[in-house]
Amino acid sequence: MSKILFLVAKLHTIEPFGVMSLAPHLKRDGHDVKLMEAEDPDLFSKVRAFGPDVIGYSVCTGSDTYYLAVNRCLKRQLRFVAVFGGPHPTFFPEMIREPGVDAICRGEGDLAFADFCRELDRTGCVRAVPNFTIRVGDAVESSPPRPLVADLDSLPPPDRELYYGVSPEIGDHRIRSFLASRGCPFGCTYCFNGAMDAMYDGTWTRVRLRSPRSLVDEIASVVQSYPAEFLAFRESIFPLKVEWLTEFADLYSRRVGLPFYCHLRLDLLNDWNVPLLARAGCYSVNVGIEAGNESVRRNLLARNISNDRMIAACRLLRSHGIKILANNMLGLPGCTFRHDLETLRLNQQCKPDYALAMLWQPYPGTQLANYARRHGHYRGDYRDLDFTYYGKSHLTFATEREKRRIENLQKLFAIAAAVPWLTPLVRWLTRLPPNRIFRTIFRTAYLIFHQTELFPHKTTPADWVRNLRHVAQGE
Amino acid sequence: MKQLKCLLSIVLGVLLGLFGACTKPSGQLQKPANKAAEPKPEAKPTKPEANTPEEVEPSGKETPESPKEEQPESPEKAEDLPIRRPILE
Repeated sequence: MSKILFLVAKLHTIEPFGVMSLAPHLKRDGHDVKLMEAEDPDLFSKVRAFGPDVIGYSVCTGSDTYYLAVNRCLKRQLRFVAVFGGPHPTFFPEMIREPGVDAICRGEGDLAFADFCRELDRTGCVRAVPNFTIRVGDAVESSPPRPLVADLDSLPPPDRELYYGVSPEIGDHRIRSFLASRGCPFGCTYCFNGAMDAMYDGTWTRVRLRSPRSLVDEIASVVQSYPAEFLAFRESIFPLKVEWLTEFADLYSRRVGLPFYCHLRLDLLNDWNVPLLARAGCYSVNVGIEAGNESVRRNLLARNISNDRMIAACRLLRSHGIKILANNMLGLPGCTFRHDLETLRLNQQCKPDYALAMLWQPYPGTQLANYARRHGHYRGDYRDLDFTYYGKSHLTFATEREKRRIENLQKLFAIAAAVPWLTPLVRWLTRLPPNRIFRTIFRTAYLIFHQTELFPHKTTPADWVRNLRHVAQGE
Repeated sequence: MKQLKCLLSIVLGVLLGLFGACTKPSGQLQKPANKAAEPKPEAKPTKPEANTPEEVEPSGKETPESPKEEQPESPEKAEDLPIRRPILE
């Protein structure tokens, strides 16, 4: 049996579901599985002491260069098979040609990674089992993906102890995350769903739901085993099918009863599902406004929903006491500062509890990234993208001044959305060079609204001091 | 209330921005204690037998004790690794 190590860049309060979902299958096969934080100051000695046969990295675009560098460092010291999975290698399989990468796992890896490790154990050799791409000398071998897991209830629950056990801070965190479903039926052009659907022959967009009973069983077990005050459902869109939601609301309110957060689409909300969500315990929701200009939203983003419909849906959520986190994308390809001001205006009309703006990033595999490349808005090779979409835009705009104003507006967006009379001042401030103060204001507002409005949970003065120190240090 | 929180964010943000400018970020990845060569490319990567330092192939002329071992040849020095700075929820 093998020793398998997962490395995550930095421990985060949001659990890494990919890694936690792979671990139970590996443990079932008898492998010794561990997770470590790559930024641990003792990383190298800890990895050496464990002596992994395989190191797995779950990689999003923007974190790829970081993980590749960590992997190269480790490869200089130790011998192991390096496997990269997650969204970036899935949509950028060229990653296999990077030094130190032995294999990449594309798509849903639950069973595929276990197959890979089993083959490695059996033959002592890396093989291109389904979902995997490997390098053989200068050539690349690839196998198509195995079908998606049809019945999510058949999967073991994620191995939370693997993650919570790494640090007391994470183990004691009062917010626990869950997934109620996989897949999304919508084809927003900035999302990876289209590419996933193509990879899986049109089956990805058929949403797979866990049964309410299986989901509530898992939640009940987790809140008995770990401290929990608030739950978060992290799938693209929380299930709203009538029968499913009715059963879930009943089971959840009886057996768990904790307030929760979930992701929704405003055009799916109506007079029966919003009260049901509220009755189940829905405290806050994440909804996409994304762009204020209807034409941009419909034609560029493929989100067919009117401004009026969004304003009405936000009013409906507020009337049931549900807090709203609105997502917005600034700096879209071909758009201007004026388009982003329209987005600000729509947020002022929708009145979310927190209006979060990000700078759009051309993630590989998305239709919008292809559009941006085709039309010359993006000229990079994806390696220039950052860990975060809150930093800077990587697109080319008509002028550098325009780009600067968009980047500054993103930092001050939440303030201007919540305090509309500050809009003229914010517009003026966007003319200044991007600076540390704007970035810190953004991070402070993010922290305050998340901790007090959207994810209320017990925080000690020491927690606040620690978090504010992270903000000051740019974390 | 929302407006008050915004004003608090502005005041705190300015103060923390000024404070942060005076402090250095911490948490740099540690430099490896010893430099050893990357495994030579093989036709197909194989499962490693064990991870003891002795079994790692030395890089040509350099020995693990050589004075140069503290200066990795690769441009990706450990201390140059990017540091991730996510925002905590």
